[in-house]
Amino acid sequence: MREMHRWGAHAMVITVWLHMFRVFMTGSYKPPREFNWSVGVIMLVLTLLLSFTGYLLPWDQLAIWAITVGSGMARATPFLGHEGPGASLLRLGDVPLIHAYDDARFALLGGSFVGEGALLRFYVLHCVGLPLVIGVLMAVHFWRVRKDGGISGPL
Amino acid sequence: MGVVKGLINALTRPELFFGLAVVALVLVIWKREWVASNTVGYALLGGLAVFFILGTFDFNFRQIVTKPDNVPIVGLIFLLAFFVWYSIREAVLNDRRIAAGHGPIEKAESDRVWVWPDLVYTELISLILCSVVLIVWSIFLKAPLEQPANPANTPNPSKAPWYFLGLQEMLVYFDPWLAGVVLPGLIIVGLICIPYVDKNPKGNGYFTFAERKAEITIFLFGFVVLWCSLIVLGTFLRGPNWNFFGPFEFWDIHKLAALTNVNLSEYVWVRALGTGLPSNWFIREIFGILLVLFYVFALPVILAKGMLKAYYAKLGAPRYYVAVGLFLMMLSLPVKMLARWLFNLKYIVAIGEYFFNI
Repeated sequence: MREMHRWGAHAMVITVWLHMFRVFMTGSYKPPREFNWSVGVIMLVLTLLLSFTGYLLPWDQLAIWAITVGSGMARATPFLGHEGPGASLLRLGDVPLIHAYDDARFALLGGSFVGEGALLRFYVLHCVGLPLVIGVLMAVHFWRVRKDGGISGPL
Repeated sequence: MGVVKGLINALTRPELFFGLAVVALVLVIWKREWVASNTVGYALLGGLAVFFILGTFDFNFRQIVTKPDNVPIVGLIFLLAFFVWYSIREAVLNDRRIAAGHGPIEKAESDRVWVWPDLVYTELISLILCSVVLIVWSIFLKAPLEQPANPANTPNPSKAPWYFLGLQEMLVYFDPWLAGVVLPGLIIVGLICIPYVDKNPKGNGYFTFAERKAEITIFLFGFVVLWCSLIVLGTFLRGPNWNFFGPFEFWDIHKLAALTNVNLSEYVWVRALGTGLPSNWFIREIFGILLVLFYVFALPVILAKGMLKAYYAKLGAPRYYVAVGLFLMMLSLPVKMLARWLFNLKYIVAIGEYFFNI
């Protein structure tokens, strides 16, 4: 069962990419399907986020360090990460407004490192938050496929 | 055998790997009439299969390729090779039909079916097939579970999830604020922008190359060469300390790579002008800042007056600047790669004082 979840997740990411490849190569993003393409791009991002949040949940060495590397980027967010460009400009006198305990990475992880807060946060996102959003978008996606004249065919 | 392995190890160095990927893309597009034949397709997949089968006789190759989490990426290589070939083939066949005055094949052979029973039936079969594949895959390959998470023990190399390895590979050339935040954001924005800046009404809903030459070339470059091939590079060819290792090379943790990367400011002030680095960061980095401003703001305008005049006229100013701006952002990666490989350039603008490095 664990295997099917793991390989299914990998296969999902690959399938979504190949679907995007097909849609581009057939020019099926062009009007009137341009709105559905945008929905699809957002779902691509959500798929990656679902996979990313799920990556942490086995709570093994691979999980914690992959998320450490991945979430480490957020500390370099311009203005909002404590090692990002411009963050040191945001200060009141001598008090920095952006530091390691209130920046973009802290918001993502619920802590300044990948710990219990991050595990809880990713669990809720993976099992409740993101599935709800992507479920709604999937419904919209399929509805638009039908409304806009079928999948990747000539109009 | 040793010679062949050595040759492949040498050919997969990042510079050559990327160069070969670009050459392959150019060949596929230039010789597409030839690529479209079935023989080439079989040869491509067969060659890949033979390479992987023969490769697994080598211990180091087997170690990295049969790692359970890397198996899907091997699958991705095969699937991607097949679908690139397939879409080029369909495009060439359609272009021939269109040139001969028939419409695209998709229009002639409508695949419209009734939802019940035809579509539901097909979906059921697909569902069962996918489940069977997944179950068989899961029976033969166990999902790895490593030691419990331990913040005090950092594995080397520490890799992000595989689908982000293209971004991690970009960290070699860019600072995290660009490679990890700004450029991924621009990828998402850019993808959403595609239908709104692409004004070409042709090629809607069928494979074609002749009607959409520029779009397809740019997309294949961005998706296959920049995104997917960097993921393959990051998965299979990056080892301890993010050093490069050939596919048949042992992951030696003590491998040393000479890194003598130099900032643009040092090239200008120290090597060319012979003075020391100015203490004021603005004066120190003025050349880099001018270069970046030129690339981002002046180059699109110059192109609009020169090379891309026809595009500018066709798209209109807002669409043109969005499209060319995004395209130049995409090209900034290969530009920076080339600058690194040719001149050992570290940063064009290096304002460490504000974590602002480009």
